[in-house]
Amino acid sequence: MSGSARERFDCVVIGSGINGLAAATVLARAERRVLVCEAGERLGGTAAAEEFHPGYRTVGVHHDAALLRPIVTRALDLEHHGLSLRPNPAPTVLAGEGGARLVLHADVDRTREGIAAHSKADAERYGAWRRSLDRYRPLVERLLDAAPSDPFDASPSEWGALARTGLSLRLLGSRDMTELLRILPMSLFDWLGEWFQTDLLAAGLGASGLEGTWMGPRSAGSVFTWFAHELSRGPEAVGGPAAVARALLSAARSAGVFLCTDAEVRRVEVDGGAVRGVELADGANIACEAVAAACGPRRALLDLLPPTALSPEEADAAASIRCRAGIAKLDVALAGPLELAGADGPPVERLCTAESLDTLERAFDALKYRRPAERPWLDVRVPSHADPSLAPPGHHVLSILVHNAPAEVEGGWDEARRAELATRALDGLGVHAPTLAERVVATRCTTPDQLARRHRLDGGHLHQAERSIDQALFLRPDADCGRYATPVAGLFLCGSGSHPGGPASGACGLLGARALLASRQG
Amino acid sequence: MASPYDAIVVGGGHNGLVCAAYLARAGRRVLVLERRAVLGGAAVSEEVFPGFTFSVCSYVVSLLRPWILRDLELSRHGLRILPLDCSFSPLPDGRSLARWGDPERTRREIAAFSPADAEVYPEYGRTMMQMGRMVKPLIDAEAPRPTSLHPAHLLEILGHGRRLNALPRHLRTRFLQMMTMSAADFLDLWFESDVLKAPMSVSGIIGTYQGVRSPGTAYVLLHHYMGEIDGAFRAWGFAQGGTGAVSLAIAAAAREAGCEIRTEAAVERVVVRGGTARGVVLSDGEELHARAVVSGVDPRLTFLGLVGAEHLPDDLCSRMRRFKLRGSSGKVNLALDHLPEFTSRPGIGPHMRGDVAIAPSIDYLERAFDDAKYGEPSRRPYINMVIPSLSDPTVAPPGKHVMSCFVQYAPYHVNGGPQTWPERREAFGDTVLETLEEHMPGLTAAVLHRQVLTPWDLEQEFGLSEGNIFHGELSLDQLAFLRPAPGWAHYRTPLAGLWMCASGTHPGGGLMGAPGALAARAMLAEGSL
Repeated sequence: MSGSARERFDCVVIGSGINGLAAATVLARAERRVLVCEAGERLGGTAAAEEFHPGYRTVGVHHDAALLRPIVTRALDLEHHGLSLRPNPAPTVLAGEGGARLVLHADVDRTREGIAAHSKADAERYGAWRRSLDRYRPLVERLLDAAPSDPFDASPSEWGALARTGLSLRLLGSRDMTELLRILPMSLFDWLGEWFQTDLLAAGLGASGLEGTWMGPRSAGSVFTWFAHELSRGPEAVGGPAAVARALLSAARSAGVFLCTDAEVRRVEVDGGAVRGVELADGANIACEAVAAACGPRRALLDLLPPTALSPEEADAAASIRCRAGIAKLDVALAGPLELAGADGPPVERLCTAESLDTLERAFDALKYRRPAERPWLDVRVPSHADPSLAPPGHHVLSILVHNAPAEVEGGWDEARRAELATRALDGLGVHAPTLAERVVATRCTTPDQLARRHRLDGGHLHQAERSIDQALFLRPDADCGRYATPVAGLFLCGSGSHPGGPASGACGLLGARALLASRQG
Repeated sequence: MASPYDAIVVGGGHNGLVCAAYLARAGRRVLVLERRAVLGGAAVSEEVFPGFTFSVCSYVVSLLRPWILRDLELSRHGLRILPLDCSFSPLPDGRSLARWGDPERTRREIAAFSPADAEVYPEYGRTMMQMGRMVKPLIDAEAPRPTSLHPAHLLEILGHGRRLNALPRHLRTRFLQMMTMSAADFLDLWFESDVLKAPMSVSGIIGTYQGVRSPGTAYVLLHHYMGEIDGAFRAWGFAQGGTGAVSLAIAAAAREAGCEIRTEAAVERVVVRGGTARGVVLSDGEELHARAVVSGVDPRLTFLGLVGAEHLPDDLCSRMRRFKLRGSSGKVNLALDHLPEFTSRPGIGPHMRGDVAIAPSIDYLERAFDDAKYGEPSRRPYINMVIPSLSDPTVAPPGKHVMSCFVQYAPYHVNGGPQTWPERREAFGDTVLETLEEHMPGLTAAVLHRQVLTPWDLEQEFGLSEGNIFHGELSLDQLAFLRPAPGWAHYRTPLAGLWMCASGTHPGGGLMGAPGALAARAMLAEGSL
């Protein structure tokens, strides 16, 4: 760490992922002296690009480029800092059993044409289904883009926001409001089953709602997590989360944020119930009045704070935050594009191999019994089409989220088990892409236990806290910290473990930093 | 034509009878029509095998609302509740856990598995009771109307909010979490021992097509803490003479108030003229008229079976078609020559007088659900077994016993279709006996008679659509103002003169009686009767 950074700071941000950088930039623009401490050697956290094989780079551990909230893009002028957005996301190919194929386009009518080949009735309903989502979208976005209020514990300043939320719920009309209240606690299996008969379609539409959860499609409440995930999607960032992190770094630097790597925060110093500074792993002490923790909430509250900082009840609540991971990451270097059997048309940029709702359910079953799925389903992206710099000319990288693999398996993860998981995943993908095996240059499989170590993620969980109704809104990550502030004055949570969640949303950082600024310590 | 009746109640189940009793006590002329020869619906006692009285379906009394008990003077009408003092779980490894009415005894038992859990257990009970007290007004009144702007309805919702607000903050948080958590996750907040958590978690899944790890099941744990007998929370009991005694006591109260009850009178359809329900037609063609028809059968059977889609709005019909019933449980009733012992706790002791849960671990229960998810009965099911003859000598000849086993999962939608259940029935019964035999060797040899009820049988014999014992799954999307359908959650239906009064309406299933009483209250309040 450079000497200049040893001075006193107004605020230390723990973690340089998308949320940490968003928080730091907001704070620095409000004239605070901000230091970002990144424990790893690269800035960007899980969004940092990595060269996993010479000449092939990732777009981060997580790869969804559409989850950055537009309020963050706007508030931090990320487009001026080099972020390039595609308004129309790449189509998603759903690959089913026996070569069945279905493509989800941004355009409803085009998607319907494809669905009609499977089921005329489903094609009919798809339009109505999408229209119903459009009606709910404003309300969901309002909730995603604002600090959550606890309706039972609201200060007078929040009454206005609560009233506006209530009003927008009312404005849906009695019918839509009732319907929304009915479906949110439902399972994807039941909800999508009410609309569609084609299993491939239901699975492909529903799969994304399970990411970051510890649920299967039959789990009640998976509709809620689906809404929070799917309706938060905006324009896609070219280059994925890594490009978002680069733009944020540029914004942070120009706002005057101090950034340092290899600076693991070991302790948050607390005196008289308030933050006084942080101590780094190398023993350095940095004085500050506030800490914005973009690391996991369990880490922040249980590992970094001195044991007496929280009351037993508060510590209990923190220890109850659930973060059971279920996703392994598979990076593949490919000598050529991902080619599907019998497919012509534009190159595949996004593919989901969940062939049926039961495929999703069985993958979750494995997780329950602490086993990797026998037939994992894959969320595959080929980011090298939009950003050819990720691989040598003509070559590509596949970014695959492998569902499901637990953080702990019987006997522990080792290289053999990791290799087996990678083989299962590639075999599964190979069924749809016969040329895959011969094109594989290199693979790297990262299991949740490794994510936990490398990125200091609580439980190896990419979202730092499971997504579920009871860990959402003002209860995310727990009731004591649901509005970013913690029981310790000056310590704020602003990672994806806080509302609205999501490792690449940036909104957790933005809203967390705003909460900090609005507080006394700000 | 002047009708001799103010109201005809279709179905002599406990809710139908409660509704009839309240209407009759308010001076209305009421007729109850029951298809079977015995009253009680699923709350019924039958001598299936000479000398042995089975509580054929519902087998314990816990949720019956105490105010109904008092209003209808059920004790005077012969109802006696014999308390269950113990919940016993034998384990395959030879250990066992019993939870007793006596807290100190329970503490010692739990401490053998986890001293920490033994300390927390009473606190858990207190917390659940506090939350139960908060929820009670919700199940003792009509469902709130969140979309209504009527001042009275807004005030009502405000009232519920106030009560929630009055809870200490940490309890309020727990409550909000509990509404959507899984039973297993919720119990993880408190306890470490699987041996304790597993039998506790099952009250979250009884009668549902959900596993203990399925979100939304924690809330149902609370339901079971609301079971009150004579004001004591968490009190379970047998009705002397079997569960049918509850129905008979209610029927006696109704008759005393002037209600007429006919058995073996199967209602074929509801007579609808000019958008109004005018009466019913019986299977023998007899037409009976009344100013109101009250359905005590489940919503799907009511609307699509008795009324007919042609008289109803399309929206309601399609909602009824997708109304989640999908029964998940069966029942095995045994007449026993003698009572074998548990290997894990020898002797015919007090631990056998309560309910016995075959629920050795959370994973066991979850695996049982996994089988059902993919359309098979559980290879090793969760079984809740009671031996009422140990407490109630009236149900079996001296020295002999009846054993009642509630079994989950037995999915109605079994692979091959529900109509294949009759071929699977005996195999299902065998699975249950094999499972019990592991804990209670010699049981099979002691069986004099075995009655196996699959969800198919529950539908065919007891009229429970898809064999759902609650007239519809108790999931958040089918509770309160959504039960059975948005817009029709207050005992009313789109047809003037047609009402609903059973478990498919708020507050839902179980031997509670609240839907019947609340429906009667709503009918009387409307003033058209």
